[in-house]
Amino acid sequence: MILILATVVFIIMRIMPGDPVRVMLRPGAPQEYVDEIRHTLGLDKPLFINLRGSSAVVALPGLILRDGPSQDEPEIPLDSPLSEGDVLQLTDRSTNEEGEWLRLYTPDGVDGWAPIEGFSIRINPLDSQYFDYIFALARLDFGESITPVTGRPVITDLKAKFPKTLELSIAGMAIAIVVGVFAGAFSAHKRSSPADYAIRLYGIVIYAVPVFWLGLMLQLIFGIYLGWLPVQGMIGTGLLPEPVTGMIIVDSILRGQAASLISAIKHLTLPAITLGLYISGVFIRLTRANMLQVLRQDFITAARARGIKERVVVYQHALKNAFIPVLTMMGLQFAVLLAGAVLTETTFNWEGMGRFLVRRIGLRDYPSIQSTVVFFALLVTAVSLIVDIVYARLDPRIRY
Amino acid sequence: MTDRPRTIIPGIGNLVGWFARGARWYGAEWYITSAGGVILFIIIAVTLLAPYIAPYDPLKFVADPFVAPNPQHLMGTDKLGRDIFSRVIFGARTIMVVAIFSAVLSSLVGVPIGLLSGFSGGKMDRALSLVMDSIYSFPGLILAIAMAAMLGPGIVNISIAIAVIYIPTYFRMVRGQVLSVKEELYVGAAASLGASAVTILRSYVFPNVIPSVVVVFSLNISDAILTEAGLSFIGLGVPPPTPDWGFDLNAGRPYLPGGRWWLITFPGIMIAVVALGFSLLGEGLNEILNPRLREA
Repeated sequence: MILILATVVFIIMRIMPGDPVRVMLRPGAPQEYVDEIRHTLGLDKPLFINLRGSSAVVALPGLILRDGPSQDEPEIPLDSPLSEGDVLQLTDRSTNEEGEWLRLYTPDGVDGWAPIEGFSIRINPLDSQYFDYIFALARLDFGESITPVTGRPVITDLKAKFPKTLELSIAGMAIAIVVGVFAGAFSAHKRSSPADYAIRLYGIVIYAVPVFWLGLMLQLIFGIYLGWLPVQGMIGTGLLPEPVTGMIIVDSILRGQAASLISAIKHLTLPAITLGLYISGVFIRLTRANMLQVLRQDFITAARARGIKERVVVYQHALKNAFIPVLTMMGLQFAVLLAGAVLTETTFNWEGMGRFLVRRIGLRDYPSIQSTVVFFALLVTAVSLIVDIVYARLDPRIRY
Repeated sequence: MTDRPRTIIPGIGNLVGWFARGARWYGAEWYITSAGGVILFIIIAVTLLAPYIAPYDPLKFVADPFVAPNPQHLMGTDKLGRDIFSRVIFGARTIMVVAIFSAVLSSLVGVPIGLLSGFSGGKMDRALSLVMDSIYSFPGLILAIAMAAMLGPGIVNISIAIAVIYIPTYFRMVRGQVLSVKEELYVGAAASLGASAVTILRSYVFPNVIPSVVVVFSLNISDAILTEAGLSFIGLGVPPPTPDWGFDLNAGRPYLPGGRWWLITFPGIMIAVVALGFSLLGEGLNEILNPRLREA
């Protein structure tokens, strides 16, 4: 699953039209520079399977490298001459009327062409962009940024941003469940009442409301007009607790800073409500449909016959049984939630992974963009796995 | 009970009668579908007639910046003094072109693949399903963001980015339908009469898939509208001077603390209304065209 997703991301990022290096650099960057970056990133390798050879071993002494695949091209001076047994990286092959030429990188990083005679070629089919990428992923190596700080591992940034997104997602999901499940249950309980129609209408309408606009409207009402809550950022100035987990609320509790905690909760409220309402519609529909089914079942009639209060029957006996499919939906909705989080974070300047992604797109930091997307993929897969496990625990009928 | 024969006079009377009959027959779904249809009709009219409806040129600075809504400028003006009402009207063009183009693209890819995959079965079906399910489970917007970032701005690029993420939606739906239709008696009868696979696919399977494609198409446009708005909100949409709801929303965001509500209110309402229109239409059509799914 992860492998397929990673492959899909790979295909989209590498095979779709659009040259990442060209996109990254400003237009008019010299070709040598483009080539150099492409080589550093391993983008000059074949995409999937490397059949043209990955390295060339010098078999004859006194070989020279040239600027292009022809004897007429100028020679490239070398600091140390090539000697027998030296291993050069092979990055391209070209055949012309002078025979076959190899494009080689010396261990010192000199790039040049030489005729194929005088080298023995080693072929490693896995020395391709695709396998480099998969192996790096398996090592959880997400690559290094190019801008704004060259060489900074992307994982460092992701580690800092992930807890913020997690915090927002958990809060959003909690709100969605509370709103969705109770509104859905109420709607089913009072079927065909005006409240039922109102709730169902809300469930349809909220789905069509763009999440970032919902956020802006909440900012406008609660932040600007009523002035109850802050509209931007994650915490008041100077109140940021020393990071322990990276989640500000948890950190505030762990550090015992009450002022920080209050400020953090205030800042979290609006984004969490935005995100929660955004996906609450699905939960309303699902809970309502499930409740309608459960309420028809015999054990509900039995409970009513025993004289148990209607409120208890509906909100305890029935709701408990209608909740299991909601849990599955939680896993499925997590992907939607993350997509919503990207937009919500942008709206509220919430420094999580979504905002990180958007910023890096602005900077054209290609490795960061790719890694963040893959990280999202990992996250979605992990959550669906967790949900499956929890589901099997809760419902004794399911055995794997 | 039969309807009293009436002279066919094209006009309001007929329309009302037709509407009433529909309502009697289908009930609540009919109203949902009609509401969606009306929104759809209005938005398409606005899209086509934008130059005649809009009072000002959406790109020209026609007044002072940040004029609050008033009779001259129904929705006020933005930071450059452009008329927001005109921009909202022309913005409908951008978003509709992208949404419809991407929905057409993804149905053109997703439907044939789904037909083939479901009909042929076997290893290819399993492989395709696995790939499509993986894409489907992934947050679509994030995939679209990645792709749009790679492809660069522009109407065509955005449409492609959005189209790719909705291919699995068509694929899954069509494949599921094909799998169930394939087992129907009439398909077996056609096969035993010697109809070729192509004939069966074209004349027996495909027509049965069309209603669901129409439903998904409508729901898909609704999603595509929201995705386009999301993409342009984070700056990956069409390049700036073009009126675009998502982009205009983001442009108005910094002026929120100043209480300039009109900058962000109207484009957002439009996105919501149009997306709602298509999703109502899709939901309603779903109930009408696939009555089996109706809630018991």
